[in-house]
Amino acid sequence: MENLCKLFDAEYKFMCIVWEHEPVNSTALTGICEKALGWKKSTTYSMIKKLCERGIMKNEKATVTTLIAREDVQKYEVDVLIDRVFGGSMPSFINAFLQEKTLSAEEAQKIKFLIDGVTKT
Amino acid sequence: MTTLFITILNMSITASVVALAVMLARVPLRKVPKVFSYVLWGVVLFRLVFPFSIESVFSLMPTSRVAIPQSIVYSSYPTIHTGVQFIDTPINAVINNALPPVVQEYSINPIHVFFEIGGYVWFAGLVALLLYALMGYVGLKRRVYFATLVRDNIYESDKINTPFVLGFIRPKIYFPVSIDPSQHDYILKHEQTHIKRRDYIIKPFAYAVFALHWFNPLMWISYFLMSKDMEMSCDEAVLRNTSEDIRNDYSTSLLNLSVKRVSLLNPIAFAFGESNVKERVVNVLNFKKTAKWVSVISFIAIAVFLVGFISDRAILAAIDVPQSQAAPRSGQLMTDTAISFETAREIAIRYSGIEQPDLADIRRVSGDNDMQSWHFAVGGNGRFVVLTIDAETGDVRDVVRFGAESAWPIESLPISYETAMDITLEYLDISEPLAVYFNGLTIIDNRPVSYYWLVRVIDLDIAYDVQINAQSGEVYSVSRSLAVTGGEISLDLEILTITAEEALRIARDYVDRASRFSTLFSSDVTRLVERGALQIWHVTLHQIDISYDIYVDAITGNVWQPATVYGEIPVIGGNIEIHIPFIAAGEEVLVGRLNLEMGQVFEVSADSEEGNGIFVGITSVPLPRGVQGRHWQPYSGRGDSGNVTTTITHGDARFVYLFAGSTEFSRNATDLINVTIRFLMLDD
Repeated sequence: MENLCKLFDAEYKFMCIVWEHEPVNSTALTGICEKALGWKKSTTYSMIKKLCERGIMKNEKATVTTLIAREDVQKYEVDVLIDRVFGGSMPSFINAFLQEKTLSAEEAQKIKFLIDGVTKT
Repeated sequence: MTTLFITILNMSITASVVALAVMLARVPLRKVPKVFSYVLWGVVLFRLVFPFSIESVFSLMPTSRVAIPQSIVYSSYPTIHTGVQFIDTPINAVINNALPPVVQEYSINPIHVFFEIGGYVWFAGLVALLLYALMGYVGLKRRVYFATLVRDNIYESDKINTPFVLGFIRPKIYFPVSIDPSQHDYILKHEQTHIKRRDYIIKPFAYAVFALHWFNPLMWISYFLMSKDMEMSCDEAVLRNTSEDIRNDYSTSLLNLSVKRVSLLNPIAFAFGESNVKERVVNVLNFKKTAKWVSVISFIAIAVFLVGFISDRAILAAIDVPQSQAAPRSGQLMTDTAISFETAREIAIRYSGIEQPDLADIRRVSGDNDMQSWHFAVGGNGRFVVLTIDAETGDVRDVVRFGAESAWPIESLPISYETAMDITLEYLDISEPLAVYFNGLTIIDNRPVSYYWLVRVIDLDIAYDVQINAQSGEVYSVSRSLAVTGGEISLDLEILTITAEEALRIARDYVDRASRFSTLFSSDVTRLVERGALQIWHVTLHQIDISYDIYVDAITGNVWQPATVYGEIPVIGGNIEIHIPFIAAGEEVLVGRLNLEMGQVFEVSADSEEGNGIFVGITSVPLPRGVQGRHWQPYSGRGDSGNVTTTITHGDARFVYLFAGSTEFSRNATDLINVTIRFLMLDD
């Protein structure tokens, strides 16, 4: 799972496009990538092939669908970030995140709710 | 390969001179914008690419155009002529001390071997360098394959860590994702300046050119300095076009993005932090906008430099004629040489030691691959001297003496002709030849003077003509020929790349150029001549009244120098007119051998279709192939207005050799000369 979520910049950008449009026709996808990423058709197809081989997406009857969720990738990236930059310490991460930021009461409530949800009792 | 290699060597030498000049010029240009230094390298590139150049009187070049003549591989005393005395003298001494002496059994000229091997080593190096660059390009290209568009031609990727430009046709700018192009406007501008200046084409091109000259360390220094100037002038352009002072930001970015890997050799991509970051930082920090007058003065200085080093000295450029081995060649503009025809003639007479010569005239001029030279023949008092005079310096070289025995230093030679005959028989491994006889002595006065005995051995159906060095006893050349009509010769022909049939075709083509009118009557390969490891086909071609002897190199297919086209004119006498058209300007051509009776009077006239000055001469010594007759009388007639007629009374020799050629060499490389021989009534 870890392997699947580790994406290079270009792969992530591409996945974002697919997540937004899936299920998407592969020819249509090349058109979108050409505009958004400056890719030639062959580049898009190479990328599809590469990601299919890794089991991240599948391409059946010219229709491309993803096999992993955007949230999984985001969670993986955050984990890596916390691990690498904050030594795995969630509080220092939140601290850095909240610095020089003001939250509305509503936002603060939402975050509190999230934290309560994962707190061990 | 050898020819190409020598051409490259010559370009490399000229370019080295220019490169040194550029390096010197960069010193005063230190304080002015680097774009001026950058432009200067263009001259070096020009010199490295074009074997020819524009001649002008404004030239600052101290050297001659062709320092290493193509003929060096055949030379017994190989020398280079850069035109700069203090370079030539030591180098030539080194060449000739380092190489084993030329005269060697079974061996071709050592310098020939040197250039042959050198040619292949050079080519291998070239291929390696180009492959290196290609692999670097492919590697980078693959890395940024999935780079994503930011805007315009700007892409980003997380697989690179410094911004660069890549591509030949539509170059793109690649940024690492960690650097935002909008926040680092000056990096973007730097790369855009590269694109605007077409640096993405210039640099790979320069790399390819310098790779051609990889053996020359000066060229590598040039390449690195050029890259540096290119980058610095690019930095300066960005600073100049930015209104606020970004010097600090700019140099910090340079430091942060400096390329750790030795990417100097990667000629394809333009990394932002490439090439001498330290010096570039200093240059950036010291940047001031240049005053207008500095630019103007620099511009003028650069213009002078460009004109001076792109062109060659006009007088020297005159020797650049095509290097075809197969065509009769001539120098041009011989009237402009330091040594005039008259002076050269005086030198020739003085050097020959012949007082009041019967003949003292030019045989030909050369000036193609070598320095320009006058070739003179001086004859009289029973002696005959052929020599070459450097048209620039007046130096005498390649002296060959023919003549009466009294003039030969036979007593002082370490090898007597009896010994020479023994050496010959031993060499040929023939114990009981049909005949063996002494055939003459050749003296080649070529620092040091060398003497060669000519020995002829007849063994059944093969005749061997062998030249033995009269000082060392070494075998210099062996030629084999059919001694009888018919039969078969068993020669080892397997190593030859040119077959007898091909030699025949080459010879026919050659004669076609020399005589436009007559059709060939018959043609045949008569023998294979060996000189050291050189193998030469001797081809005889017959027209109705003329025969041609053509020598074709059996390895290269070149028609051999001296490429003498001469015919044998089978004339017994009577009132006959013979017309011989041939191509010759700046060349002496042995027109033919006349089979005459004693006291024969004949008139020889020649006219040039181009109106060039020409001469005709006659001698009973066949030039320059060796001494065959002891009785000979040279005659000559010379006319500068395009035609000449001379009446000759023949002496007592059985054959006379008629030669003719141009005395004026300024108009055309080839000229059609018509020679007419009119045999008059016999004197009673």
